[in-house]
Amino acid sequence: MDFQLLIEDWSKYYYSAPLLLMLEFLAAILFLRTYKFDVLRKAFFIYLLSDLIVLIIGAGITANKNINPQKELRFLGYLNYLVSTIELLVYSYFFSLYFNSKKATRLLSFLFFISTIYSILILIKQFHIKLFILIKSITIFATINYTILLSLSIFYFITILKEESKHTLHERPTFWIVTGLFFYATFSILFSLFHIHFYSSKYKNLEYIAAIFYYLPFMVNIFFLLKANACKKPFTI
Amino acid sequence: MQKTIYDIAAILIIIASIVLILIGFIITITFMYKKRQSEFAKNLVKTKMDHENEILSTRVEIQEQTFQHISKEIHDNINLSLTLAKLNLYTLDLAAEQNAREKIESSIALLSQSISQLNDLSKSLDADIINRHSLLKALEEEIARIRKTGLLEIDYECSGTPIYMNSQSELVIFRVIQEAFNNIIRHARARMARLLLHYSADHLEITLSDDGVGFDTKLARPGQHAGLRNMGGRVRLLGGEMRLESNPGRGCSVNFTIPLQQS
Repeated sequence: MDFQLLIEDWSKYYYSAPLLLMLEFLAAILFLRTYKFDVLRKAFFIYLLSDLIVLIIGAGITANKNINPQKELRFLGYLNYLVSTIELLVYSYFFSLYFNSKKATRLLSFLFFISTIYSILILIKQFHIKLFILIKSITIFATINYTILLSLSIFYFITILKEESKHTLHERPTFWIVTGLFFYATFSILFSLFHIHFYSSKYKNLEYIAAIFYYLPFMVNIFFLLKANACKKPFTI
Repeated sequence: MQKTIYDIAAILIIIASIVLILIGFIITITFMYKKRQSEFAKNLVKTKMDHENEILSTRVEIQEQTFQHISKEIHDNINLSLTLAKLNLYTLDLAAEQNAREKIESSIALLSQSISQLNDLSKSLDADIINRHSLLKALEEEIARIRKTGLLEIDYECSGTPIYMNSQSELVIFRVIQEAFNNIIRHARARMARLLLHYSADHLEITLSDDGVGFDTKLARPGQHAGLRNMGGRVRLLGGEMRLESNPGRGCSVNFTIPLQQS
């Protein structure tokens, strides 16, 4: 383990990765200490935990001198896509419970199925595909996932404007969850597009873009999740 | 190096713009949601008020039916019995004793008075006068009835051009004024009352004041002054409002403002 190597890598991303790691750790603890650990809270906890594990594994791989950088990129790319699939599953479950529609549930299950098939395929075939193509295809699939989540967020906002609810918007955990997702998905789509465009040209500000367009919105999303959890109401309101 | 700074500046500008757009979107959603929620709350209040009005309306209807029933009972039975009693007394042999004759004459006078009072009461309870005539006519008759009892002196004044409302609304107003007079007679120990009616273009203002003992409106316990609450409820049924002013030893003044269009 070469921690100097790890710190160098973190500094390239303006230490956004360790900040995210700490925040996720804190969020996981706060979720555990919640007053009522319902199914949706469990799902979001698993999502946070899986991302936290991926960040720790990523840090471990980066600190290991013996791992080939190309292999490292392939593996980390795959792990990130896996988290993105879990993310899609958790948010799909959340939206299907909120909208309470069989059609929406079927559609989201189908999308999750496609995403899972793709993640299995790249797990089997990842060493047979060129790194450049692999990273691009992963990014494109992740962009599709975020686009779906962004569309669902917008649909949620349209739906709440038609509802007659006795709760104010600030009292509703769903509002905070979806607002966080809305910010995160928008920036993630932009980041993916930047990534696809600049990856091959070795753009030197790519780490800066990653820190601002990926890590920062993700941190914002976690803050919103914590705010939703602090509402002390079921995640379906 | 300079190119990098420009690149970073461009990225920051893009981010700031996107963040502003997203925040603007969320603020718009929040504003629209609040607006919708306030409309929802208003509808809820309106539905509740409609429901309360309906209940009040039903109560008033039931009360009116009861009054009509009592009115009929007094007129058809009590009045008839008393008239028969009077006829019986008339048929007595008056030559028997002087003392008896005086007593019988006294009884006849008392019976006549009772018949008269019962007739007045019957008229007072009968709502048909509103249907046949108007609120003002009914009020004049009611004031005349009270004056005749000698319990209260009444100063009555009506200003403005009278606008005739539907008989249901006029009946509610009439009952409210009647209730207010009854309160004065029963509780105020007043000698003098003053009734003012003022018709303006869009509302009717009624003020009834007395020189009675008055009461402290702030010290009224729950359950007390049910008659006043009932009056307030009836006025609200017509979309109006009631104001009450009273102080111990300084009489009482009750004011009703009733919109003419709504009623």
